[in-house]
Amino acid sequence: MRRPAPPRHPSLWAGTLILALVLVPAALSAVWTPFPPGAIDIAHRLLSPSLRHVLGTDPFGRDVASRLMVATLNSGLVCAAAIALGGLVGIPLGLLGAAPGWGGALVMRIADLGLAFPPLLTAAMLVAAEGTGIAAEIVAIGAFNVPAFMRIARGGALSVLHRDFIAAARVAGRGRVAILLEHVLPNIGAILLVQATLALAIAALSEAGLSYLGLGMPPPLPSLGRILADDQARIFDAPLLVIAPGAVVALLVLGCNLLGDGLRDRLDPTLAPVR
Amino acid sequence: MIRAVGARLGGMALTLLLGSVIVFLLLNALPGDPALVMLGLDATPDAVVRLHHQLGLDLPLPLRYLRWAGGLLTLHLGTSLTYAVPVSQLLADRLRITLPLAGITLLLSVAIGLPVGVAAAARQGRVSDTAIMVAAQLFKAIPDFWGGVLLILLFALVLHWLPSGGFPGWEPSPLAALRALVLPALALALPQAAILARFMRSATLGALSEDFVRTARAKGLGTQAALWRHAVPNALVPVITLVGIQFPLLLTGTIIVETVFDLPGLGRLVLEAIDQRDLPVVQDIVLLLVGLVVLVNVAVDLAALRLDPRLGGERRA
Amino acid sequence: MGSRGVTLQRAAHDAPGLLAYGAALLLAMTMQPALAQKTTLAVGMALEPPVLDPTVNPAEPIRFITNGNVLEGLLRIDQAGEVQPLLARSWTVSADGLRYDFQLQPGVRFHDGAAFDCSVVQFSYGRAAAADSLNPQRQFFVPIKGVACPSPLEAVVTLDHPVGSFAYDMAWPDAAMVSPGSVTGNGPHPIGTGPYRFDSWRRGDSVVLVRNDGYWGQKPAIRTVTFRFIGDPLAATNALESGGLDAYPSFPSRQLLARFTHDPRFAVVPGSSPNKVILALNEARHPFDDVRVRRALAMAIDRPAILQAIDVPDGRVIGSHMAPSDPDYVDLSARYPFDPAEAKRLLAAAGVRPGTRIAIAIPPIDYARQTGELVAAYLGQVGLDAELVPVEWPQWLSRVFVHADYDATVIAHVEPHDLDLYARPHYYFGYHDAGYAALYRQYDASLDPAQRHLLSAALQRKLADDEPNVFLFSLPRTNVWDAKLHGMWHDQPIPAVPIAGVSWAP
Repeated sequence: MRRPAPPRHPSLWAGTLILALVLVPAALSAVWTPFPPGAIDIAHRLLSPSLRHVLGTDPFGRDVASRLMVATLNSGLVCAAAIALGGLVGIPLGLLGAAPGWGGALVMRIADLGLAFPPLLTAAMLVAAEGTGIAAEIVAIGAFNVPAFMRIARGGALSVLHRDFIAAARVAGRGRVAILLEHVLPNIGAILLVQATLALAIAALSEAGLSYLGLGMPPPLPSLGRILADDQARIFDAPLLVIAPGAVVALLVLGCNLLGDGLRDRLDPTLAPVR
Repeated sequence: MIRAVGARLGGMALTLLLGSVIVFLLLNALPGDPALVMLGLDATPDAVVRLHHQLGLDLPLPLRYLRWAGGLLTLHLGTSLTYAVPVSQLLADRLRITLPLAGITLLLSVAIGLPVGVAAAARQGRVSDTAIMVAAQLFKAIPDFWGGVLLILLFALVLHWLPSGGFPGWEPSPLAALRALVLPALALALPQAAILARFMRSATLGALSEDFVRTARAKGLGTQAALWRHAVPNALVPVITLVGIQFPLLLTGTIIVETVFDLPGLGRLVLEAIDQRDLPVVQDIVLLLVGLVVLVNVAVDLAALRLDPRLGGERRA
Repeated sequence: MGSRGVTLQRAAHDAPGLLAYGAALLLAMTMQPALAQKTTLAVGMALEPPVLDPTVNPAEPIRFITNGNVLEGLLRIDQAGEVQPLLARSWTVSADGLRYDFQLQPGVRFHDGAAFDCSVVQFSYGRAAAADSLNPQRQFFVPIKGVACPSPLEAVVTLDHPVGSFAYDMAWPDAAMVSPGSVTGNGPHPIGTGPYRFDSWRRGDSVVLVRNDGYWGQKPAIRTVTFRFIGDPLAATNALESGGLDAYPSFPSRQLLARFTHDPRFAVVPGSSPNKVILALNEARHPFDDVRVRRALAMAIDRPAILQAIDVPDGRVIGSHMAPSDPDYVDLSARYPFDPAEAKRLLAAAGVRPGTRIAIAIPPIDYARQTGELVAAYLGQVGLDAELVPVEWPQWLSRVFVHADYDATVIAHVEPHDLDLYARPHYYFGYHDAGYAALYRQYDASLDPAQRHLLSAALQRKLADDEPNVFLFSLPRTNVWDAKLHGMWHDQPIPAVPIAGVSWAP
């Protein structure tokens, strides 16, 4: 665009900052939290925020900040696993689909099918079949992510495969798989990274929604959506209990979106925004 | 064009067929026994066996699939195990809430998102543009159920303007029924509108920089005229595609928001039916939703094709 | 809505402009049309019934809607928990307790016009007792040897062996009179002899009953009753405040009650119900077969603190399988006081190592989820590794209840007088005690109220000693309704929301 001296990737920085704000305490919770997140202390229930309890305590006397830290880590790990699953299945399928012939059509059909099953429907069926569980949640969110990775990998591969250096590699006798790994993948790495970041935002929203409905990870593992659902009736006497977990989800999503947009601008300015 | 339509309809049928097999297999592998749920705590084994037979649960799986799929093709949706009424009747009742909700949401998000996006594009680079885009980023990040809770807090519990949930039914007072849908639709529409606004802005800017628009402007066409006569119509193609991409998430958003606002719609029905192992209802609803998603995608595809014939082949956003 | 409200809505419909629409909206919101004498009633309930026939399905919401409203039995249970005549005007019991003579109410007809007489009693009891009966309380009817009809208005029921609670049992909704001609349709459309006829059922929303003008008894004041299913506490609050509901027995949320206690338009009325929330233990599994372990678990859990934490400070800690509202109740709540140190000692004595895993199955209900989470935390404090396993209802029924494939579960037993559960040979607790079973047989056969009371107390003490389950507490019920409404049941000795005695103050 014809903008005079635009600020250098402000959204990249804003996104990184916001994500750090949310994810650093979350990562820290793996080794340290202000209070044990599950420690019940009924004598000190529903305390207002103070220096001791930064976000107060919940109806069971548990430290809200500690629980949110752990919940963010749990939600974040589920989302990361789901994206990894989407990428691990989607990228090879997409590269395969770049091959000429009926393979491409079949791969695109699978992509259509995946898109037709939003995470909530898959999760609902899986939970009904297996009960709640982390695996069901990861699969449900991951499956919906497969098509996007497939399309991008296939599109990227198709555009790269026509270039001269591929022909050169072929002439040099490199095998098909080797070409895909050595030449195609590095060339679409940037766009895949952008996709993963943006998909993480949608995954965070899905995860929160699933655990809000009770279809996500099972208790007593704290998760952001379920903390909100559990304390929803507290909206009068302790609104912070309802506001805080939602705000963390929103920050997580905002951070991922900003980071994704920023990465895209930086890595490949010619890319049109996907969403 | 006709070939393209045929190819897409064929693909749609194939997707639906595969989808129905997946739904059937997943749901019929459930451990809970619907007969046991229906009969309650003290059911005798005999009674369970008889009910199995009556429900056709003693048939082999492929036969049960064929029965179900065959029924769907002839529009016989089966009978709910919990309520003992035709599934079609249940669906009709629930769609009276879910369809208006989805419709109002779509309308609201387009009515808010498109003008805001165009306005931002027209003010590109100015403070107001940046402000709009920052706000859009924020709204885009709000989980719809949390937005719903916040709206309840503000409009229902503090201001007492609108109900915090529940649905009074259309018959006694359509006005009251509409009021019950305002907050849920708003909770769903705000993030969607934010996404649309951002997209509309960049699509409009993209169209403005196209050669033919530049030429028109060089020939003396005003900025406003260029915007409305050329840029906006051209931006609509990708925007329609975007609506298609967003549709599945909007649909499942409806399910979540129906729970937040306690609306007896399709989403609540499917969650309850899963709890009750009401297989016919779950199967039909999940497939209905999957079918809707597929249908909307095909429709969006064809609409984009119609608006911009340059989009040939298989390109789909 | 009054006529003015309707006109306004029409105006809003015709007006094209958003402004007119908004104005109408505001007006409609602020207006409360005056009514002469209200004869409608909208009652909120948390759950929707799956069907409407209590003689084939155990769900509690069925009983709220039908019991005493649509369907009637020979006898009924009043709000104090006493047995009263209904379709039987009076009854006598022989000295040996084997013969019940019921004198039936004359001139009674079902809603479809079918006559009620002794043959209906024969049919209803025979159907409930049959080998293929789906009746949730089939065991009530098994002792019946036969029903004889000396005349159309006299039913003579003879029993195999004396059953001290027989009259009480026949007053349950499961013993409702059903007509042979309409019984198969009772699931979606119940037909009984009650003061209200079934009108319509909008699935997922409401059931409507209308007054039965041909009712044999006194004509009720309320003409139309709508039972609306609103499980979400916030939505229920809103419906009450906006007038969409007139009453909500057993309001589902403690946190939101404060809104009504300060509002003069509403009455917040405490009541009782015979529920017992327990941590059921599977005695068929080690280490729960050891009474020391069961006692240790009881002492590890701070039950008053749990009541605080789940916002029911007025809940009552129980020490046996009996709710404080029951006339036979013996207070054993102090039997195992909270004492983690003693609990640890008992566990060690029983050879239970720290870190032993216990899976607690949690059905999808608020009280179970919250209580389960707290119980797990308390068990963690005495060194046990309690894992929560959330299960859906169908899984709970098949896995826990039917196949007893579980360690422990949090569940509320809501039936009154259900001490027989611990005497059943196959029940999911896995509790087998010859002494208890013998004592129960004695109680069951006893006809003397004073003796029954003493035996019931002995049974309760025996259970407290053995602690087959950890008895947690009985939750109070809090009702919310319009302050002008009279005659609603405060207490719930049996699942029912009888409308016939309800009226609006002028």
